[in-house]
Amino acid sequence: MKKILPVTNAVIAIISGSIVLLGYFFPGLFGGIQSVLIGWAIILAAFALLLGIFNLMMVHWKKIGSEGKGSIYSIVLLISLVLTMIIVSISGPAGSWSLWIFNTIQVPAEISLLAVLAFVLVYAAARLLTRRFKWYTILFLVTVLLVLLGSAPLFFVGEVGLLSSLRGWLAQVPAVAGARGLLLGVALGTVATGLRILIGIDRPYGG
Amino acid sequence: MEQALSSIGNFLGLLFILLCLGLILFYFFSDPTREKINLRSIEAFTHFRRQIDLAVEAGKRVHISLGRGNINDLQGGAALISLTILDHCARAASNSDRPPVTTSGDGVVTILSQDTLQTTYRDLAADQRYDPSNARLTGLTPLAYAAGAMPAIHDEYVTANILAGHFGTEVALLTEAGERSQSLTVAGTDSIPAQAVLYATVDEPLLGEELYAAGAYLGGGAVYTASIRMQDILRWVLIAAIGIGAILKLLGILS
Amino acid sequence: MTDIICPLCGKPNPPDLEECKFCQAPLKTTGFLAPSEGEDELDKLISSSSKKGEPNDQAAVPGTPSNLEQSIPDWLKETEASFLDQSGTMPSEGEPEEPSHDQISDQVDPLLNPPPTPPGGSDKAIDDDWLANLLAEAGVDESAQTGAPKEPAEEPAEEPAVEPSEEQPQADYQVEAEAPAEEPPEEEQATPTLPAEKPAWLASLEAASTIKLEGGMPPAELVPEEPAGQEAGEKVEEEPPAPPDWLKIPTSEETGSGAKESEPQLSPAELPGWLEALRPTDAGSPSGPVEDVSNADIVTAGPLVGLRGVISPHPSAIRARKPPTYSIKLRVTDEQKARVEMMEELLADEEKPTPLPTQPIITSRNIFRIIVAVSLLLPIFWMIISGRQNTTPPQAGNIPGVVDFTQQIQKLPTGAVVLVAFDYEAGFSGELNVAVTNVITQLMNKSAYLALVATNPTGPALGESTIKNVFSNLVGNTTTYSSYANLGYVPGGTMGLSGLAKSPKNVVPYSLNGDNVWAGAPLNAITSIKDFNAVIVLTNDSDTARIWVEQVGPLLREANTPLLFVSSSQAEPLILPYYEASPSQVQGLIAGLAGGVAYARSVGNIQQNGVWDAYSIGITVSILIILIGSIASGVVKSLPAGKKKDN
Repeated sequence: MKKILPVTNAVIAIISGSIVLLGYFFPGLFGGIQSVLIGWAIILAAFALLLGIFNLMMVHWKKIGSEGKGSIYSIVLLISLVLTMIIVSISGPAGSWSLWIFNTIQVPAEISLLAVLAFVLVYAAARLLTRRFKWYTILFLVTVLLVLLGSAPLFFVGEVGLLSSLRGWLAQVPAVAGARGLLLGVALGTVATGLRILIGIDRPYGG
Repeated sequence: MEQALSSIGNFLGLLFILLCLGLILFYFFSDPTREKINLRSIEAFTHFRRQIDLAVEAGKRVHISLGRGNINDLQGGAALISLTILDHCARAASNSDRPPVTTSGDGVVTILSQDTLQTTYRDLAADQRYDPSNARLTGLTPLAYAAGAMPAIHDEYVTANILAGHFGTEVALLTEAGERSQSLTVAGTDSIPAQAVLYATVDEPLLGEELYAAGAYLGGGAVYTASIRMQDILRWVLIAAIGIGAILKLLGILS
Repeated sequence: MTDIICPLCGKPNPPDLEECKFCQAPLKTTGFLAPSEGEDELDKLISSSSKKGEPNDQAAVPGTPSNLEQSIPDWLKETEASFLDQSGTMPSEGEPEEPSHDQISDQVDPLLNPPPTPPGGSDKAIDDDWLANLLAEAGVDESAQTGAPKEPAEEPAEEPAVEPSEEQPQADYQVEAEAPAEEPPEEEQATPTLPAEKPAWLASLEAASTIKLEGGMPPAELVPEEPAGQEAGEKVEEEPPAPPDWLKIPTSEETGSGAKESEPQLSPAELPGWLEALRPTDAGSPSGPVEDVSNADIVTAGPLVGLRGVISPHPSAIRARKPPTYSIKLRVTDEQKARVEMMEELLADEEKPTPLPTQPIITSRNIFRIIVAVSLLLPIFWMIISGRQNTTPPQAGNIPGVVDFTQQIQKLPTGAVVLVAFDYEAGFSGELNVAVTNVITQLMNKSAYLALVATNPTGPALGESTIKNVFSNLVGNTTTYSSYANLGYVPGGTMGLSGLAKSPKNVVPYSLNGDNVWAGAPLNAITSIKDFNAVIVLTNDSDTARIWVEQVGPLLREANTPLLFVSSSQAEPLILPYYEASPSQVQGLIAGLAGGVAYARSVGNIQQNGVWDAYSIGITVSILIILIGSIASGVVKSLPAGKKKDN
């Protein structure tokens, strides 16, 4: 059984992947079964989300049991999770109570984290030369400053047209060109990864 | 003629995929024993191996963040590569006092990471070391995921962080947490904005397709080196195609 | 008093006992004679033999002249004395002088306990005239004499008797011991090592002597082959032990007949001249050091009593005895004890969870962090609180995509069905809310029917909240906007979106409230995504934007349905090429806060809340921090200390 199961998994993965891929090029022949498989994948993804939440609960339940340093946060998390589930179940996903939780807790928390992120990025940029004192690091910093200068009018100075144009050029020509090059490499890597899985050599599914 | 070109255009994607597959299989079966090719030095992978060794030696833990990419999305490639890296880490750190801990921001990736850990430990005949709670879902939104992964870096005796997968700019929060806890961080992602952030916050980021070369650099096997060769060849093909297209467009031949 | 040693427990028992009084083991069959103090087995044998009236060798008792010595004639003693004066008193190399006591008696000791001499080590030129004469009469020269001991290598026992060396001066009885071997002239010829004839005086001496040894006293022969102890013990019990055969003095008849029977008469070998010339001349010289046995222990028991430097034949080595009992208490020194305690502490610490290293709160990095945070937050707070509007807001024409976006919204018919995808994170609400609020307001003004979807889990709540807030701000009360349907979350990422594009009814069949919105108007007319009047995607992620453009865009272009984007600044660079492409794949774009403010300005809904000034001053302060920090870092790195740290 231990040998049969991985082989079975690999066969299912190869057949499913091939059908979905061929469905894009031969929709008349494989379109129907491709839609069925995609529907299954969507349902499985939704259940995976539930399993992930269950996993989150179990991890923090264990943390409470261990009485470690962060056990109090785990208690808060579990209580919040259970309360939210109860309230949303009663009030409904679009109910006023559900939206109150969302607007007064989740949105401010995420905005605060994003504000911290902005602060972290400024701090990291200011210290970048201590981390990597190279000519291309200086080029990186100069580009960052030029884009920032062109993003908004400077306080007490106002908008500088030249800087805005320069920012537009930097964002659209070198930055996008570099990004496209990177994306092409990423796409090739993604294709190679997908093909390895499609032919069953790389098996991230316990095969 | 136009119909023929149109039909070729429709199947261009299929031809491209078949070309990729043919190249991988050709290099894989032509010399399967030749696992090592001349790979250019990528400091991040050197640090990666060293960090795992140091973590094992110090009896500390390695934290592997698999990102929040869904395998059904475009980020699926990065998510699958992160599972390959997880497999390598789990094998390398299998004799550590503390097994590696993984965090992810997607339910499917969480299940796959649990499966990868279980399979790896089973292969190593160390089933008892497998703990499902070492593969965690820390949040379903990017910032929630980052906020949930930060305590794992701070509180769980982590000495090395490996961030591999799909991230957004929220990855800066994880690298900052790693710096504050004085643990070393190696990071790579497929996201362009996240790569810009990693360049500023990590000593050795993995940029572009470097993340996808992880299998070959970590000694995954002949199929990974065959993939690398395929990517190299097609990269030159794409460069040539872009160059020729630009010249034709410049000359007004290509409308 | 002779005790019997128990073979089992090793304790002495009285001789009259048959069983060990300690362990009851039988003594008669396996017991050994325990030697008394100052007396050993050989002494007993010798003394017993002397009791029988036979001469005894008393060499074992130093200082006491033996019968043998007394029987030596005076002239021989003088000869020996002169011999010792000339050579014997001169210690050879490697051999220390013998302790000073009776010179003659001392000769017995090395003879009884012959040192291991190398081949030829005892071969010395015979200096005595009388012996030289004898050899001359026998026709053997000195050179032949010196080489003689090398030939009978198989008979080493005869060597010391035949040729006494200077290290081993000849004792009286040794001379006598030669007599039986040399007495018959036939034997002398038969033995090449004894070419010289025995003189008459020697024969008479032999006759007078009471001890005759065959070929000297080889130590090896002194060791009994059989379990001597057992036999000796039995003899002690029954009768006084008889001396061994080799100690008996053979009569001339016995010796002669024995020799005749055992050895045929051999004529002395005559070497040819050429072979004689090949013989090594220095063969007789000592080739190695002589072992010094003067400090070795004297055997005090057994047949080798009195010998020095031999392995003791005392049966203690093979005696069966009770194994000694050892204390099970471990003897540990203080140092070892301290090390054990240290090891125990280490092992105990291994089990204990080590506390996490505490980071110091006040560090240069933390101070720098605080400075950065305060520098960023204070001006922004000040701007928002004061509500100043000093900075001019951007114009729609200066921001790419805003004008087209505005036009696309204006082109929508009243009551249009618009699909709005809330695909941005709640954290980006601060950046996107300006644009999103104005777009939704414009749509509501056109009485558009809004179908809300999301590809991230927080999107449905975000959409619901936005619709309610916008409508409440628009109408000024809590009335709910009725022309919308929140279709909820579309799982599956790209595949889910692809399914939504092809068949939205199948992917999201019910609204968030559980209503089948596809059954009623206006959604009952929608079979594909291209049937909507417009698709507006609100996102902060460039990847999400790409998925919408690549998966949904082709279908929308078939029906000329506009695809509009409201994105954050970070996604703008990757969405803008789709907008600027020809033909454009994105028909309108509002990017970032600047785009949102520009759009608000274009629709005449700009709010005086100081957001734009706060944004402006935030960007300005960020530039200053990065600039100052980079310069400081560069200066520090350029200094020698910084370079050294890098290396």
